[in-house]
Amino acid sequence: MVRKLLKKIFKFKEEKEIQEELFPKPVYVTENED
Amino acid sequence: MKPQTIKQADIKKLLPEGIKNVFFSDADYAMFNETFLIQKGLQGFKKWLKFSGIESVGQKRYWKRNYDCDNLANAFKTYMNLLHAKANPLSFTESFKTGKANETTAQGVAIGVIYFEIKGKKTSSQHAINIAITRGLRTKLVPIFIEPNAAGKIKLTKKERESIWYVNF
Repeated sequence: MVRKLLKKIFKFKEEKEIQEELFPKPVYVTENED
Repeated sequence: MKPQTIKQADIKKLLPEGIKNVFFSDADYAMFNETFLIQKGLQGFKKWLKFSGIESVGQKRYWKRNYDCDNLANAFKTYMNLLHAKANPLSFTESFKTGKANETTAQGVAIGVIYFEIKGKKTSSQHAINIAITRGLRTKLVPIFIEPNAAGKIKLTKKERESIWYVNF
């Protein structure tokens, strides 16, 4: 049961890391920029 | 600070004059800053292509006969819009129900595809690249040109700018 849960957590972490690498958070042009 | 948005009419004013085919799919657009576009954004795009099995090979980089400049330019535009959608995930209903707000409500991001002519001494060919409206290091909003097939930000000659015949944001 614990092993299954850990496996799920690792898979989720791995997917999250891949997503963060493939899809970086964009930096927008903002109002009041000089 | 709040992301700035730009409307279709204001984007039109920033384009070279006389382009016959100018298309917009959204009412308003957010803009990515220049450093993000040509550094992290472009790197992410290349990783995304690699993840999809489109590898960088030789001089032509990501270019393939069946995945050429127009495909790359459209993919770059799509990828940047994916980043925009991912960064602003809440639907109108979700925002209303939870009281949370997205960073911006802009429908799209100001990155388009352009087609223009490259003239050699005896030959000419058509090429597709990206145009982005951004501020970068300047104070004014400006259009910049991006070659998504690895080179990043590029400059077009006056003749090339005048030869643009298709723009799609």
